[in-house]
Amino acid sequence: MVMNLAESFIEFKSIKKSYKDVQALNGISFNIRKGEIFGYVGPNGAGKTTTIKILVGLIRKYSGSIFIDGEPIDYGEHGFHRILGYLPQDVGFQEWRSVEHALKTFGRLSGLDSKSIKEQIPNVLELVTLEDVRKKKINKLSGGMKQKLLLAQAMLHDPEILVLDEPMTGLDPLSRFQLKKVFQRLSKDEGKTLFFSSHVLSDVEGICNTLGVLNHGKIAKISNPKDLREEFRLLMGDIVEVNYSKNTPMVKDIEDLEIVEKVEITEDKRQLIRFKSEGDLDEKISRMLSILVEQGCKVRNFNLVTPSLDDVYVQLIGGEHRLA
Amino acid sequence: MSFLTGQLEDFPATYLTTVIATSIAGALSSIMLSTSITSEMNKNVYDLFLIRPVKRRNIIISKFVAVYLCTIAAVWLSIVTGMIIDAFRGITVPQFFVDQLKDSVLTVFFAIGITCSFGALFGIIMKSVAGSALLSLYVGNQASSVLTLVIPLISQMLELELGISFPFDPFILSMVIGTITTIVILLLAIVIFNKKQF
Repeated sequence: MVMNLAESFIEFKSIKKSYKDVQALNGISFNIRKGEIFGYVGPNGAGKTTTIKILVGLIRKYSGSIFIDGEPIDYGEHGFHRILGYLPQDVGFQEWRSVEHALKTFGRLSGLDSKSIKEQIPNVLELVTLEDVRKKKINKLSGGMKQKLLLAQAMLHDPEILVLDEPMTGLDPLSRFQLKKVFQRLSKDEGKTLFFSSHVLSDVEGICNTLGVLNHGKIAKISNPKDLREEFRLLMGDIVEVNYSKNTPMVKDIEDLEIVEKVEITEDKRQLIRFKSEGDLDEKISRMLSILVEQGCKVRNFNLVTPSLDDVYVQLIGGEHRLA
Repeated sequence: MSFLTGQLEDFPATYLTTVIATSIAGALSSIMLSTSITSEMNKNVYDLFLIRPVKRRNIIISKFVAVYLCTIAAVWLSIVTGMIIDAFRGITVPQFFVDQLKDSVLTVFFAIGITCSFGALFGIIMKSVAGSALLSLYVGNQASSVLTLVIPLISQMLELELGISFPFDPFILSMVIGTITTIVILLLAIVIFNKKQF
């Protein structure tokens, strides 16, 4: 079947799951397109891992349906698991094995022949920078190395879909940066679909095409991160941040101006000025700058506040924005 | 008795190794299997196997087969070691012992099958490693003793006390019951493992 890139590749439909009295997922529905990196974020306990475990077939008791490429998901020997690479969270290895031995076993279980296993092991180890520990026992590896090994086993059989549950856990900043590059390359150059969960927004920022925010078992928002920020900026209004030099007064009596809605002093020598929504933003900014000059304020920094993904996230999961 | 009386000079090492190996093999194998399954399940080790195109049952069967075969190999190795020691010492193992060795060791192998299957079952059911070890040790060993050793005893008692001959070959009957029990318990373990949510 030839697939349009805009079509949904993985489709969740009204997924519900409860554990005793706790409703972990409350009828979530969303789609992931082929070749995209889908960032799945939410606070701890929001239901991210439950969603992932349902997708990969570790949890089979749930209501709702999942479709892959338009067909109901099939966990048989020739089904979804053939095209799946999975990096779980909080998982252990059989630690008496060496890195190479473990990868050989995973390769065989994934249906690779000996020749492919031999070819693939050095490739994936190089990708996650673990070439030097190939012969080392797993129980001798550090936490970060084990995390990289988890990623290596997920990529070993060159799967079409990579499901990564908190893949950056325990990694140093350089490794995080390197892995982000690997994920981008897998998506852009090789057309892999990545479903990537995290509660750290900086991990998903800049690499995911679509961001799904989950809160209390419900999808709070699904959008492109850029659109999400812009949508939130409009919602938040136009705010400028002014930082003053040490020995200078801050701007006075501006709350009565027709262009200003609210002024807040957030810390010493720092003001947040929210403009009213009416009028042109550039004009409002130049008016404010002239007032600052008129009052002899020495300004170190003057910038329009654009919401970060953290701001959007806090707002979406029920927190309050700093100026609200 | 030779140990108790201190007469160890002509005591065949084969006796000693056979008795020790066969008496602890069942317990060891069931503990080995149950504790490794429970601890691996607690560490989510199987998540990495279950998301691959393999049947869930194969994980339990391969675990069972590996432990079972290792235990059998260990028992044979112990007996052969005893025989080698005896050969070096120039001690001849009595013929009646050699004749009985085959049947009794084979019976023990079926008993090991039962204890291993209980080990797999409790390894899957229990969340505590100690709990699974204790249950598989006691339940597995009791069940294997009852099922494999009671029948030969009953047949002997019937013949000696009442003069009635047992209608079946007790050894074959023990083997059949041992095999059926192992399969049933193992199937139960597989069904539970298949239904488990990870």
